[in-house]
Amino acid sequence: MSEDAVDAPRRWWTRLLGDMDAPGERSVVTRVSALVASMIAAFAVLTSGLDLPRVTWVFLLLYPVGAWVAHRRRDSGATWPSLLVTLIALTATLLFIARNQGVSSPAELRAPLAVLLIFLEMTRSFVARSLRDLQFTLTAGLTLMAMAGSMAMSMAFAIPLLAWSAAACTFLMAANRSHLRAIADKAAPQATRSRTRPRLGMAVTAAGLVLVIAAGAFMVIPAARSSRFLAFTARLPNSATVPQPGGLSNPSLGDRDPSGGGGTGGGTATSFGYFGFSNEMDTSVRGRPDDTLVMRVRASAPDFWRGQSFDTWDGRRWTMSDQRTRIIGGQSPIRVPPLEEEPPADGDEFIQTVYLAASGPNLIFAAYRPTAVYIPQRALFQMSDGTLRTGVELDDGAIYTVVSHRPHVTEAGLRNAPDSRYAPSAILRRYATPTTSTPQRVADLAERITRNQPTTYDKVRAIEAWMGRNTKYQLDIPPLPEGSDAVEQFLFHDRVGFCEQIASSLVVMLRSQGIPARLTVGFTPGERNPFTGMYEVRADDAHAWAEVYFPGIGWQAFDPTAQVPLSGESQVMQARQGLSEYLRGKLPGITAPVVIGLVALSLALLVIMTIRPLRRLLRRRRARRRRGWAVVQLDRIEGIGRRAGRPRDPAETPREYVAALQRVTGRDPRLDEALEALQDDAFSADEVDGASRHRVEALIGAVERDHRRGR
Amino acid sequence: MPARSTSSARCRRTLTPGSGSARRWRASAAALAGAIETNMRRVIRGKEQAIRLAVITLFGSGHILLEDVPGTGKTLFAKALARSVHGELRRVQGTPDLLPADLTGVAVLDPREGAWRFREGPLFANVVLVDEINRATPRTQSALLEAMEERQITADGSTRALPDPFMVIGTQNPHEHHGTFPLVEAQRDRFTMVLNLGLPSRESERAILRGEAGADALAHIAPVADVAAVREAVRAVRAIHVADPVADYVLDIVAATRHHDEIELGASPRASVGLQRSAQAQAMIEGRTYVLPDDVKAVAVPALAHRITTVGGFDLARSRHLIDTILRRVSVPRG
Repeated sequence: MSEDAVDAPRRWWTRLLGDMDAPGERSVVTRVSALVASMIAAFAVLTSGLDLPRVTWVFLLLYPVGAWVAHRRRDSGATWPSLLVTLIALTATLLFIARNQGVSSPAELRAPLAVLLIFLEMTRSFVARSLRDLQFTLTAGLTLMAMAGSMAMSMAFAIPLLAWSAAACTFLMAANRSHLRAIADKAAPQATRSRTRPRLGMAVTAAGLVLVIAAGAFMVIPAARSSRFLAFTARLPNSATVPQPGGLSNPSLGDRDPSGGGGTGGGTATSFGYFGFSNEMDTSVRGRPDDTLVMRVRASAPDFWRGQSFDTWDGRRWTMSDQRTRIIGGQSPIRVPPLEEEPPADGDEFIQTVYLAASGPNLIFAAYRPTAVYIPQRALFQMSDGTLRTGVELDDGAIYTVVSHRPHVTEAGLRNAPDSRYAPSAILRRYATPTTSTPQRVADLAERITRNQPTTYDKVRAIEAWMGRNTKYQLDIPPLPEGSDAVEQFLFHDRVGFCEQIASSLVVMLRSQGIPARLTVGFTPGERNPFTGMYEVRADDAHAWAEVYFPGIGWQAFDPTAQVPLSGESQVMQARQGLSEYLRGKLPGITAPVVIGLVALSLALLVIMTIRPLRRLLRRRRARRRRGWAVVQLDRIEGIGRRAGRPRDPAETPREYVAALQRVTGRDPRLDEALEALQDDAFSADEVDGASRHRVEALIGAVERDHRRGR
Repeated sequence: MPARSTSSARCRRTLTPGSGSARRWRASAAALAGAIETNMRRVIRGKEQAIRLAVITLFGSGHILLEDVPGTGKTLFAKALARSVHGELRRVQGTPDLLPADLTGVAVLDPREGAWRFREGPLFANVVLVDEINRATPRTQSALLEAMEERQITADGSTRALPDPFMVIGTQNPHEHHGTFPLVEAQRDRFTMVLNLGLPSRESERAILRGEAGADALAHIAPVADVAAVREAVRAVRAIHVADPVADYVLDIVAATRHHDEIELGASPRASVGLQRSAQAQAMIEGRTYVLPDDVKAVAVPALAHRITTVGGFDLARSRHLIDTILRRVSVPRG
């Protein structure tokens, strides 16, 4: 520490900064920040949802002990502790390999791997004597943070992430302080007065820069895709079997639980209680669920999270004609056999992981055509329409991953599909037979709308378009009169309705024209949280839509109310997808101009904070490259002289000029000191260092100010 | 060399460079110069500028031409310098019958051994004072100037190196022309600097009368350095950094002498070398590791004036004035 700190009262920050001047491994700041960072990382993994053994917490508690021992013994040259630690690490690694011989999926390796990493870090912390060791510690912490991050489901991960970043930044700053000081010296000329301020300013500038770059990158990078190399998560906190094997259970419906077991809940439906997740769906039921978060879905693109479908319509209620289920099972993942009616098609693998946030029906929600399910169960139940049910209740905290095969479907492909007449007869029998109850005028209307449409696809679109023109989407609709047909009431009387009415009408009208169609219930994609990359599905995202059968292609979802792109036409998604919706949702009552104003203001602040010092740096560097720093500074001195009425004669040397100037303006030792450094820089073999430059600039600046003030 | 063999324990203040770092050496070189100057000032009063230039020349391994009327202390000046560095001083009086062999030495037959032995002439000394150099014949002048340049002599078919350091201090009376052979341009060029001591001030002359300065004081000064230290200093001068802009400045000044209306013959490349070397020595004496434009300016007049020929014949006073105007016209680099 320089002499100015000696006479100044040594406050704690002075001491800390003094400590920062100690070489890396001696500095307490360096060691403590590395320790804190590695502890936060281990803590983040321990609380991330991996089921780690209790003993791991003990490892975590041993971290500070190890750091203390290493700090005490930092000057010891003994090699036996390192050898011992190496032996322990080797043994632990061999044990780890031996114990995980028969592991079939990487998912099972994740928890043991985390334990091993934390254990190795703990043992290593006892011998982490040098700065390099501490840097390794930080890197190991980064690995653990990445692990925890991959497990993170919500914004709560931001807390350990921010804490870890702060500790890591502190460590990096403390470990690289000599470089930092050089930068700070260049950036902020006030350093002559305070040594802490430029560091702070530099830190703020650096943080601002990182923020700007991160925000910029966030706006342009594509969203992360689920990788097949990532282990798929699966967890079931509750293993209570459903009352009826293979049957549907939905305790959240209360009294209406199809399994009949929900009576204990007092009969009230909870948030998951969309009445469509039952054995029947009554379109005369009004009222919608609230906006409770029911599940989060990690997926690379939005899609309908399909639950189940209905094929039988009696004018008011949708039911299932085929309640049979078949058991599919085996080792994880459970392979879902393809249905006969779904022809194989080109497509992409679509991976979604569903994290339930509320207990709900025992349905597996996924994009259509699930092919494999990762769930800690030996068996699932498959229905003839492809619906998947679990044998256990799905409660809050349950996690499963579904791999779906999404065929590449495009408008042209659908138009070119064979006519519905060529669909398998079983399909036609089950899904295209108009129910006797369908009023004639509904069928007539459908006939009138689709008469001039050449293909099934165009017919579907025409009906959708007609409904779009002639009906209104509205959640609050009048009750269905006793004995009336729900579709007729919607199309000819109320003309207002929500998804059930609209989708039911679409299905019924298509069936009247011989096109196989069915009603499907599930969830819309939900709102994407751009920070976690997960779709947050709320209870009121429950939805009903139509599925239409295309021969040679299979079932295709159609929905006039929710805009979900065809899978073959989806574009590369950006990481920022959903950002504006998310912010709008999180900041209620703030209008767009206010948001824009705030964003502009913060951007302006950032620009001022980061661009100005940057520009100063750049300008100085550019000036230096062109004319040399000393010349620039001499120009400033000559500027002072010019204003004082004593310009420099070109034949005057800098020293002669400064002497002459002082004869005019009075003696000024600051100019002499500046001159010495300038000459050093201009004429000696070496340039002067950052600190001296800095000081010279400050000196000249002070003289300039004095002269300006004196005038 | 006799001078070295007599180095004695008396010289307590002798500065001898160790084998330390270059930086330490430069500091001691500056101190050495200071010590020599202080020592000489005790003998030569009121001639700080000439003393400084003499030390510069010594460190720049050059030669000095003192131009002055008799009795102004030219010989004393040379003696003080030689004594300060504990070097050997020899003196030659320039006369028309002085032969080159009188300077270099001759081979004589040693009657006892019956062999030819080379008897060294007065040039074999660290400081050689050649009084009234313009009274010697051009032939002798040429031989002397040759020795100044080559720092060796050839006699009796063998080549012998002159002592190191080797410095010639020539003197001449500018006002006496009878029976002289004035140095021509090419010969003046061999001298690094031409100095005028001039008459002492009244104050200084009083000190001489009192015996506090002048020849009486010479007996009281002790050497402050040995020749080895001077050799080191000479080597250090060559290592003084000359930045490109400063070198350009030197070239600008020299070029200006070549394109001046009132100058018939501009400065030679040897003048550029001499100017730069002198500036380096000046920088070192000031304790710097690099040359400033100020250093160049400080030595430009004594280093250049005698090397140019003005229109209408050589005139030192006018040359000095012209160099001065050139310095006031050539723009100075700032970095």
